[in-house]
Amino acid sequence: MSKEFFLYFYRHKPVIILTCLLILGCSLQYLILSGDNINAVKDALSVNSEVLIFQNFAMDTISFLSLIYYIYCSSSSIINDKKNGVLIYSFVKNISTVKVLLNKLIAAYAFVLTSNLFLVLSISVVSLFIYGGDSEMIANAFSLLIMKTYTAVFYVNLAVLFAILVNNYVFVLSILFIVEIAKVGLYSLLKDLFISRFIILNHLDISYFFNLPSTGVDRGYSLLFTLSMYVIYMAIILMLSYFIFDRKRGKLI
Amino acid sequence: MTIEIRSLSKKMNNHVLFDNLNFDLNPGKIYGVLGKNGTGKTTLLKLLSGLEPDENNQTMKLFPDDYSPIGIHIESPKLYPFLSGKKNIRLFTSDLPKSNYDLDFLIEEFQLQNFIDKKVKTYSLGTKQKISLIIAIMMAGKFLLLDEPTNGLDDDSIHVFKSLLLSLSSKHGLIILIATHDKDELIETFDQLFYIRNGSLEKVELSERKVTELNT
Repeated sequence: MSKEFFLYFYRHKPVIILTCLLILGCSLQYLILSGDNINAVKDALSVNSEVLIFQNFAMDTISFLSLIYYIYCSSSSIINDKKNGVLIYSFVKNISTVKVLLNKLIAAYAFVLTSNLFLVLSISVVSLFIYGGDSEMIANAFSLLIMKTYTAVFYVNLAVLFAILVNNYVFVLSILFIVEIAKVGLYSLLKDLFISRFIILNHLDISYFFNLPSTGVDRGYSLLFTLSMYVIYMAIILMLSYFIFDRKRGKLI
Repeated sequence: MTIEIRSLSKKMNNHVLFDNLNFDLNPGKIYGVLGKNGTGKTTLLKLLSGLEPDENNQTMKLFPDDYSPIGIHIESPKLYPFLSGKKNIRLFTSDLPKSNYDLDFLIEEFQLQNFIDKKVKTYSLGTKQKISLIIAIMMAGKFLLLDEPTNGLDDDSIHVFKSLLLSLSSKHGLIILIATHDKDELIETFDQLFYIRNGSLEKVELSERKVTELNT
């Protein structure tokens, strides 16, 4: 797993990319919340702490862009390996399909977690520098880390599945936009039907369950139910990925 | 350990590539496989290495242990372009229980000292080929499969490569199978030569290889 994890650093230059996203997100939020705007936000959200508002809003801005980056990086770990033919070495060594795939997935999860940790910590330092400290900052940062990683890991799994199927980055990247559009469309179409509670798209944002300034939509589900749906869908995607990867094994080199 | 291949068949797009092949591969021997384009030279290597299933959808597992001591180089060099040659070699061979050759020795033999720490994307085809061959040699504990190994190599490198092959087979008892379209380039290294024709392997008679001449 460690080799796969370090390949992300050689292949995708995360320090440079994430720093750019950080500068962009923080600058944008600083401009948006400048002047009286921050007071308007405080009133609208009934939150007194400026630092917590900045911490959350900056992370929300960056997380959309970082999600695209994570999807690209995780799909690249499959598409790039197929393109370069290097999977041959694992297959010739008799390394099982499940081990090869798990190595890639765990490395992708570790990369997402590490990158989000870097972003949350950096945003917290910037928030501290601009707005001063707050006793809830650390808890808020931890919640942001969990929440954003939870969402990203699902997309990463989906990206790996699509990357096994196709060799096209544009197609894999488009899943984010397809899922986002489907999320809004399906929710408004099926929100009154019982079946809507079993659609994973309604369980990808768990911010409602945390006491954050930028909280998500309350859809009336419990945290346990949301987590159960998440685990079930993740298991289905993983099994599909394994099945397709194993069947295509000889063609992946 | 002699590798015994029995009843190996393979079809591709309703075309019979191999029909009930039976042959033995003995330790310390170098085998050549010749054939026209599309006769299945690369497919034979993929079948033997377990990369592709046979006609009965069975994947060959010549070495049933957890670690398979097969080294392989097929088609083009399989490398990460964004890593250096050395990092590529380390990445793919660091988990091996043991290797017959020391990496630094192979780097020196192939005269890669000035390139080994540069990124693969800056390499010529010949240099990439050398790195890929080093990986295959290091991976090959018992069995080395090579497809057109001399592609892009200059005369000096081909000479070094031949000496390494002879040393690997004679000193380390490796079984080496080389698929090539150019019989003349490696002819003096082969102990046995096969020609793929009409789905079968035909043996071609050879004179004894010139080990002494090459080693000097």
